[in-house]
Amino acid sequence: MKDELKDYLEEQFLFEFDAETTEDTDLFQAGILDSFGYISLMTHIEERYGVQFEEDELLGNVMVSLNGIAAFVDGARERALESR
Amino acid sequence: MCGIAGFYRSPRPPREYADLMHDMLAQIEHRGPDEAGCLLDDRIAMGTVRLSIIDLAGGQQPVLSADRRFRLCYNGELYNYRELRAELRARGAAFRTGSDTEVVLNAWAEWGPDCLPKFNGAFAFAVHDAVTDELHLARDRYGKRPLFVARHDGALLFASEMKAFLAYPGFRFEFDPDQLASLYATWTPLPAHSGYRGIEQVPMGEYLSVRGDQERRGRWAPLDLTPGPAPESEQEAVELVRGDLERAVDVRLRSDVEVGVYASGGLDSSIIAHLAARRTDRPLRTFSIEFEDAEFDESAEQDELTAHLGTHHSKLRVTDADVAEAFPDAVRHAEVPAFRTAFVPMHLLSRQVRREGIKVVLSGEGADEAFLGYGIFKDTRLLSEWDALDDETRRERMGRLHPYLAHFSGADEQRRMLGLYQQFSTEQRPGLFSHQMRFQNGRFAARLLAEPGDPLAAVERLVAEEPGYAELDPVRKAQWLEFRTLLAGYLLSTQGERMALAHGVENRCPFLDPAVVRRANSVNGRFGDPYDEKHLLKLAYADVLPERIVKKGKFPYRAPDSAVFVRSRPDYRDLLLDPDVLGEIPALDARFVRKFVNRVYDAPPERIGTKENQAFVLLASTVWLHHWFVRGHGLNRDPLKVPLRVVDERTCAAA
Repeated sequence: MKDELKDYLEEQFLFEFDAETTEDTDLFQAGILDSFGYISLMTHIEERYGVQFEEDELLGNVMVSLNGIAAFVDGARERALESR
Repeated sequence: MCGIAGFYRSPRPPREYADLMHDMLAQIEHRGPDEAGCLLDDRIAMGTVRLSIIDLAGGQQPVLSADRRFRLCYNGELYNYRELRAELRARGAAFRTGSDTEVVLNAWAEWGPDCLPKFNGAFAFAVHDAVTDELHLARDRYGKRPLFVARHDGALLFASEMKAFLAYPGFRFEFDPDQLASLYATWTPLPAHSGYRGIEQVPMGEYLSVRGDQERRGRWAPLDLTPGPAPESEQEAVELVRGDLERAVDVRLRSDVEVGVYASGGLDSSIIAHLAARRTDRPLRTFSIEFEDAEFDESAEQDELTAHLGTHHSKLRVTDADVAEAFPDAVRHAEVPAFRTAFVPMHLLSRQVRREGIKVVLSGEGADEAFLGYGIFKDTRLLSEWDALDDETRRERMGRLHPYLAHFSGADEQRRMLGLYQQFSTEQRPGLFSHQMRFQNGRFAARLLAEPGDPLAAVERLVAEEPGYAELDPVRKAQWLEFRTLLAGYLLSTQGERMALAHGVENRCPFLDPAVVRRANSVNGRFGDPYDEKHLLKLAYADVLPERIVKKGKFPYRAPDSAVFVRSRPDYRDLLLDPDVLGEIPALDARFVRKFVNRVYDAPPERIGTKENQAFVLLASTVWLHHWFVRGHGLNRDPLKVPLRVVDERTCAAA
């Protein structure tokens, strides 16, 4: 999932992860994502991975980094399994 | 309206001055195709190309005071020139003409720079004092008329448009990377910026006085957004707004040639058309653009308005191919990179207006800044209240912010938008709270540049250095930034006067009458729902305009951007990827440019969003500016089409 997400981010937002832009870089703060990019990324994650950002998560300033998003998706999937 | 140009303390021999002046004026003849004149002496050469609007026969330039001490080259209109002439006459000034130009000259002779706050108009001028050898360069309150200054080889050059400098021997254009970075991120040049090294603008509301090597800058009109006393009732507010706007339109109808109106179909220009129509004894001439792309077209509103007012309406249909075709020349007139293509249809429209014999048009520009019509003001209000609101209220207000944008509708979309707004609910850049989202979006375009540094550093400095800015509330800070960036740096210039004057058409903006702006600030936010933009304006004109126009809500004037080039000009791909061109523009990051351009051409259209569109147009306009200005292909070698009248006070002429 993380590699796939990494490819998606690089292709969608025209950048490459490197020493400067790491997997922990907040892509929003780095100016790689704009507001429309943020919305399309959220939409992509929810639709591709079948998870949903709850309001409190969105308002808790989700770290818009590769690692932050991957951790969120993993956590959301685990919660979904536990609730079954 | 006119264009001015000149140079001061040039090391060139005075015998060359007439030819130099001719060549500089030839670059800007489009601004004033009716007459050309210049003054030459051993220290200065200054000239004007004139678009005759008032006192067609008597308003020749340059004008000299009766004692020949003051010499003036003037670009603009003084809407209150009759009142000022009467005041000056009472103080003993003599007038030989009926022109507003002579009013400016006598006002300067009488009051010096203290005359400027008395002026209600759109102007930029140069006045030389033959006794003290001082050159004064002054610009209007809101930056409606341009004025550029450059220093080269010991001389100070000035002109209404930078292209005049192409004709000065040895002058070379070079992009300023820091200014480009700021422009790419914030959409427009900041008040003193030009985008090029060694060229500055006299900022709006300021003047520059030069005497030899000494310089003095004065600010005669800081942007005052202080709310005045509140009207006692909404009805009183409506009547006051109506009265101010009527007077603002009336003085802008002062002209010895016919005046038309740009009628876009939006509320602002519809109000102006209504007010102008009631003062004309024949059907008012109105003009608009019709787009082939329904996403941008407002024909239905235009048709309803013009039928309602009974105007003589001309509509210009603009296609993608038209925009792409006209883009290079429109950029040549704009002179600075542009972040969208909406200025290009205005270039085509002004050409049509001039062909139909109209030299002066009124427009609705400035209404959104004065009366808080833009979504960014509602965004700012919401973000400044964010922490105090519950989620339900946040969603409800977000849904009303930009109803014309798809991603603001639907429960899922609004839920995701909550996260976005949360990102901007705290100030991360000092003083830029209101514009953080916009400037964040603009940072993408700055990636096209080799060394963008911190592209927001300059605008951060601008607000930090502004006295009183820190004390403004968030919405007024947003208003200040709109006046100083988008309005002056793009709407009034690139999309406004530069496109109109490209074809010798003068644009006038009644909403930017100082009295109207003052009134707007005394009523904004005090009546009605602050999330209902321009509530008072709608209320004031609901009984005289078609309901559809009043109720439509904000529909920003836009035109198709990168799609224009992708759909109709595949050759632009090669143009923008030309290794020779990219090699000559060190300010650009050639590697990222290649990646980006290929992406725009190869991606499905729905994958190209706002930031890509803006970046594409900024890049394309930069490449054309490189062609016209840096390479110098914009130099016009044709002689002036009208004779150059010379007032020659050089010692070599006497000899």
